[in-house]
Amino acid sequence: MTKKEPAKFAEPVMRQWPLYLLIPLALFGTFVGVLMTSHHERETYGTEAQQGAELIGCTESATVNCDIVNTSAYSELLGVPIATFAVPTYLLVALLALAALRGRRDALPMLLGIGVGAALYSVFLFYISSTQLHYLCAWCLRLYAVNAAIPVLAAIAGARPRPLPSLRSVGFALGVAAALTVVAVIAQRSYRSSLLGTEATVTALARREAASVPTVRDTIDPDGPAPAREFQVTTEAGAQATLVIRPQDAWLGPRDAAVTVVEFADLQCGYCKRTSAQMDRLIDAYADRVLFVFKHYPMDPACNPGVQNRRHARACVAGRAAVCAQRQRRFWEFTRVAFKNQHALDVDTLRAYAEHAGVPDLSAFDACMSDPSSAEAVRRAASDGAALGIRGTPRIFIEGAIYRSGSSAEQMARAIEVALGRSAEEATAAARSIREASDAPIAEIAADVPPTRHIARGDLTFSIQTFEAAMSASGQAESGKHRIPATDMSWYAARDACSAAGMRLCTEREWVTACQGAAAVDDDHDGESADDLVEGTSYPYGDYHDATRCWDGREQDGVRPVYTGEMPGCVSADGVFDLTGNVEEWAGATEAEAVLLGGAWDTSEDHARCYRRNASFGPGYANRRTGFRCCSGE
Amino acid sequence: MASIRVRHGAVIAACLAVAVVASAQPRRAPEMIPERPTSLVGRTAPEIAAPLLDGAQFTLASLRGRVVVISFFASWCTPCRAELPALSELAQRRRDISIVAVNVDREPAAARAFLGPLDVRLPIVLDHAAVALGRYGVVSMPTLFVVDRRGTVKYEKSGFNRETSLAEIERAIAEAR
Repeated sequence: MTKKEPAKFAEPVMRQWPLYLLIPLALFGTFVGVLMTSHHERETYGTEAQQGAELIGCTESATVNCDIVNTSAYSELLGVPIATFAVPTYLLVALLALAALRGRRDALPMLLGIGVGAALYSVFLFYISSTQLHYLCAWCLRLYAVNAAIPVLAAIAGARPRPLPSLRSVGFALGVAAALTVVAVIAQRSYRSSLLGTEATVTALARREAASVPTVRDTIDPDGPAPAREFQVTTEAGAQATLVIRPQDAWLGPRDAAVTVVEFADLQCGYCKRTSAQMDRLIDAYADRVLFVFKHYPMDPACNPGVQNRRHARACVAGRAAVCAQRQRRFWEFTRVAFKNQHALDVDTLRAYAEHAGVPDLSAFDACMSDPSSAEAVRRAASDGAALGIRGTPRIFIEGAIYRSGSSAEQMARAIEVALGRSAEEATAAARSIREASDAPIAEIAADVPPTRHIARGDLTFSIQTFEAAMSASGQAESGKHRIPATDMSWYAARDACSAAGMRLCTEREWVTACQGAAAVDDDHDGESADDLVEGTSYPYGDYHDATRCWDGREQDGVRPVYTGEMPGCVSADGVFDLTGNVEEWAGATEAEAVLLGGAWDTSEDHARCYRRNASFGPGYANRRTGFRCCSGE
Repeated sequence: MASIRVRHGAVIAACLAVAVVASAQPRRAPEMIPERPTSLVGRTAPEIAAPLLDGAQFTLASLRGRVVVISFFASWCTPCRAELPALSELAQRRRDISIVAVNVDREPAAARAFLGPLDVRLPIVLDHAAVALGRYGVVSMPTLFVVDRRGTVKYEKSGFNRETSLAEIERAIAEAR
C-alpha cells in the first residue's frame, strides 16, 4: 500500500517584486517620520534660534506650509507627535515585507491591514489639513502616497483578507510594533528634553534662582472656573451672535457681576500689548464690580480656525503658555509679563516669564505645555471668536458693543459706567479719572532743569546726565538744554570726555534702569541688562510708542539729530531726556562691555526702545550716529 | 456810551482772537543741529595700523604712492559675501593697485569662519576694536574707499551691487590714478 499523498491545494501566487518595492518605500516613510518628528519638536519646543528654518523639501507657498501643519493641534496624539508613530509603523511594514519575502505568507494580510488603516488615516489628515488648517504639508503628502501604496502593493503581492493569520503571528507582530513604538517615543522624549533643557534655559533659570528675582506678588487670579455666561453681541459685520463664556476662560472679578467685559487678544499682537495697558487700568478701577474675561485669539491658523494666514508665528505657543500659567492661577501676571516682553516669545523664554509671574510648579507648567489639552483650550477660545466673525485683535466686548485697539481706557470706562447704571454725564465724569497718562499734555522743560538726575532704584544708586552729553571746548562732557549732542564719539573718546568732567560712562545696567524707570535685573547673568525681561516701561515715557515724544523713526534723508531737550515728551520717570532716539549712547565700564544703547533718530519705532543694544562693533566705532552721556556714583 | 461799549467789545473780541490763534499755533518743529560734511572724500585718508590675518602688521602709510582700495566688512554682512570675491578678482587683474579688506567683527574667529568658504585672496586687516572703522566714520556695511597715490580719499561708497558697483569702483580707480 503506497503512502497516501497529501492533497495538494493550489497556493495563490505570491509576487515578490511588490515586496521589494515596499521595503525601500517603508524605509523612506521611516526617514520622513524622523524628519517630521525632529521638525515638530524644534518648532514647538526649541529656542528661537532653533526655530524658523524652512523645512527642506517643503517650500512655503499659498497652500503649502509644513510649519503650520506639523505644529498644529492635530500634530500630536497623547502628547507625542503623530510623526513619531509613523516610525515604528513603517519599520513594521518593512519587517513584514521582509518576512513575506522569506516565505511567511501570513505577513501579507497584516501588511494589507496596516496599509488600509494608514491610508484611511491619511484621508482623515488630508481632510483636517485642507478644511481646518488651510495648508498642506509636502512631506505629509509624500507619506500619504506611501500609505496608499502599501495596501495596493500588498494586494498585488498576493495578500488576501482571509484566511486570517494565526493569533501567534499577529501577537508577535504586535509585540514588535509595541517595542518599536516604545523605542521611538523614548528617543522623541529625549530629544524634547534636550531642547527644553538647552544651556540657555537651564542656566538662565538656575541663575535666576540665585539672582534677585522680583518678589512674587499674591496672585489676583480667582479660584475656580469662570462663570458660564452667554449674551448677544453685534458682530463686526453688524449681525447678531452669541458670545459664550466657558468655564476654562481666564477671568477676574465678581462671579455675579452685572457687567461683563470680554477681550479677545493675541499675545504677539502689538495692538493687544498697547491695549493691555488700558485693560490694566480698567481692571484696577472696576475689578470689584465688573467681570473681566480674556479669550485667546492667536493670529495663526495652526490654533485658530478663524484666520487664514499666519501673522504671528509665536502666538499659539504663547497662548498655550498663558493657559498653563492660568492652571496655576497666574494668568493675569503671566500675560502682563509676556506683553511687556513681547519681543521674545520662544518656549524657554515663556517658561522664564511663567517663573517670573510666580507660577509655583514649573514641572507642571512644562507638562502642561506638552499636554494637548492646553492647545485645545486656546483653540476652543479662538473658535468662540471665529464664531463672532472677529477680523483682528484686540476686540473687546462691553455689554454687547465692540471696541478695538484705538479705543481709549477712558472711552471703555464710560461704556462700563453706563452699563453700571450711571447717566451719560455721570459716566463721562467718572471715566475721566482713568484717563491715560499719555493723554496728558507734554510739559515744556523748565529753564533751571538740573544737569544730572539722582536715581535710586532697587540696589542701584547713581547720578546720570539729564541730557545727552555735549562737548565743551576743553573736551569735557556737559549736560544742558539746547546743546549740540556730541556725535562721532567712540567709546574711548566718550570715556575720556566723562573722565575730564569728573564722571564716568554709565554701566549698561544703570542706563537701562534710568530708561525703563525700574531697576534692571540681569536675568541670565551675562553682564548685559538690555537683553533680559523688561522690568519697567519699554520706552522712557511708557509701554508703547508715541511718535510725538522722541526723535526716532525718522529714516528720511536729510534728518539729523536735534538739539538736546528739543523733545520734552521724551522723558523718563526720573526726568532724564532723550534716552531713546536722537543719537546712540555709549555705555559700559570697560572696552569689553562697550555697547551703544537706545538707538538714533533713524532707528525704527520698534527698535528705539530702552532695551535696544548695539554691540556689533568694537569700542572704536564712531560716526554721526554715536554719542553718549555720563554717570557718577557707586 | 454806546461807542464805549462797542470799543470795549472790540478790544475783548481782539484779545479773544489773539488767544485763539496763539493756542491753535502748532508746536514749532524740533530744531536739528547744523549740517556739516561727513564724507571723507577730498580729505587725507586716516591711518590704519592693525594686524593682518596672517599675523603681519599692516599700515596704510606703507602703501603711499599706490592707489589703494579699502573695503570695510563684517561677517554678518550679506552683500560683503559678494563684494569680497569680486574685489579679489579685481586685485588679480590689477597688480598696479592695492586692495585691502578690513574686518570689523568684534570676535576674532568670525573673520576666518566667514572667509573660509569664499575665494578671497586679499590682505585681511583685523580691526576688532573698530578703531579704523571709527576713524573713517563708517555707518553701514560694506563701505569702500578709494585712496589716491597722495593719500587723499577720492571715492566712498556704501553697499554693493553685483551689476554696477564693480564698474563704478574701476572708474573711481581710473580717476584716482
